[in-house]
Amino acid sequence: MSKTPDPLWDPDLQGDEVLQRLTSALGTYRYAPRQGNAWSARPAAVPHRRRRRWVRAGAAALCACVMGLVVWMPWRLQWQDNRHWSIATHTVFSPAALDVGSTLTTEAGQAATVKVARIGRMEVLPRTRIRLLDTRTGHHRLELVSGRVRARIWAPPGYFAITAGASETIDLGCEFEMERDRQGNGSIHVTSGWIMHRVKGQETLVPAGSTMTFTAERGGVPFATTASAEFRATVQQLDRAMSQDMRLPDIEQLVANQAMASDSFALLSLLTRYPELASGPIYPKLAALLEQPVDVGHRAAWSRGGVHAMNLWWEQMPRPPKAWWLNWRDAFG
Amino acid sequence: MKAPLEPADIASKVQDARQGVQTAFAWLHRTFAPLVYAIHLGMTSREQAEELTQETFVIAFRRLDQLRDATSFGPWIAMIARRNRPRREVLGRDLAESGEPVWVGTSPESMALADEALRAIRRLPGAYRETLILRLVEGLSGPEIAALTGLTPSSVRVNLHRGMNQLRQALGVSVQTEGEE
Repeated sequence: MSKTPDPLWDPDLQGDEVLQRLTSALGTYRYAPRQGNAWSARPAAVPHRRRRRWVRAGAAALCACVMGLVVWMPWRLQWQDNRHWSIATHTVFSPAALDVGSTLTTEAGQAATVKVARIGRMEVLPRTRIRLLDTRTGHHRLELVSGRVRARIWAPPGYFAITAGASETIDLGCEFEMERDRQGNGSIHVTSGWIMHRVKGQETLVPAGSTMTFTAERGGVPFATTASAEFRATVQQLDRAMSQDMRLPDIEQLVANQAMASDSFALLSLLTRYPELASGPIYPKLAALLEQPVDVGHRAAWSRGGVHAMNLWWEQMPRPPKAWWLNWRDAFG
Repeated sequence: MKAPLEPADIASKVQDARQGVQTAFAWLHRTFAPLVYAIHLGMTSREQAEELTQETFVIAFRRLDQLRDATSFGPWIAMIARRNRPRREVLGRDLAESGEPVWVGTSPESMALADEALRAIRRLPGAYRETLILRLVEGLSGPEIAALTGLTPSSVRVNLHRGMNQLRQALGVSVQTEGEE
């Protein structure tokens, strides 16, 4: 490695005029996958029922709308590299725009609404500090340093994400609220669609109606908002033990006993995270909740971490539709 | 500079993808699409490069079991991309005119420079061409390029500097010698 600054090696360093002009000009050719070209993950298949109303409209109106959408949707998703986000300020102290690399801090009693490019909105609640890391077509990244934000995004999965320390919360087309303290502990509550929380190789899907806590080191198990405090405490105890390779048969039984129908996703997450738990009482409990037979082969496959066995039950999970009827205004930026 | 990819992360995602985990496919696509696209953009127009990028991933994901060293996903898919050439040779004049970007806010001078520079890059040797596109088009750093392509950092640095010098010569601007190893 050269000791001298090398802007060709490190794009963060300012190069000579030719390099700057070339980088700026050629950046227009940067890879920006169209919506249909992005490799979609499972939650991308969350129901699309938006078109139902259009079908009922007259043929002429439909054609006009489709033509309009063809032009408008790509425009909505496009965003010039490093272009600032505008802030609908709630106080006179906030700046009018958020540039890449700059921070926005709200004091007690202050709040702000930030327009996330053209793909959504984010409320920055009091006592919060955020930093815009990167923004361009298909890639908008923000850091939540501390505090609480509430985001509503209308975009394909992966376009928007919030980093917090080593973790990343990736929007899969949804509305969610996230808070984090200065030590890196926090929680995410999803009210519409899905998010994926990723920290140090551990990935956790969180659907609408669920809350997940996290630390700087790992994500917890997502719970339905209706889950009882006892059930949460027991699952967390089991999660901690399993993360240290300890089986606690009594606790596993307690989890199975306490689980209600609305806790299916928590059980599914737990079994997916620790496939070996399938040999215990949680597996038959989840089978009963999902109205699935307790099949010996399926159970054995699950215990071995078989993805096909897991997918079979993941497909049984009811997927809450995105509450587009509440958030349709976001589509208009 | 952003932290480059870790080989262990790549291997882990390849293993997951082999097991059918959809998020792993998505991760591999998201991470390596700039590399594959850069190779195709060096061969053909932007529109065709985007299509070929998708094709290359389809081919690679079908053959994922043939990949011996999971950490070598980058060099492996790069090889597939180099073999997945456009169905017909595109004439030089077509490279700029068909389906090239018209970015909102881009000045005509900037577009002309981009067009001229891309034509010049396409005439460079393959190693310089791909490395330069990853740096100048995708905005990646040297370590990121090395992690994606599987090249050593010193090879990437040499490719960048020699390629840049050749590009400067082709564009008729002064050649820089400082910083070259």
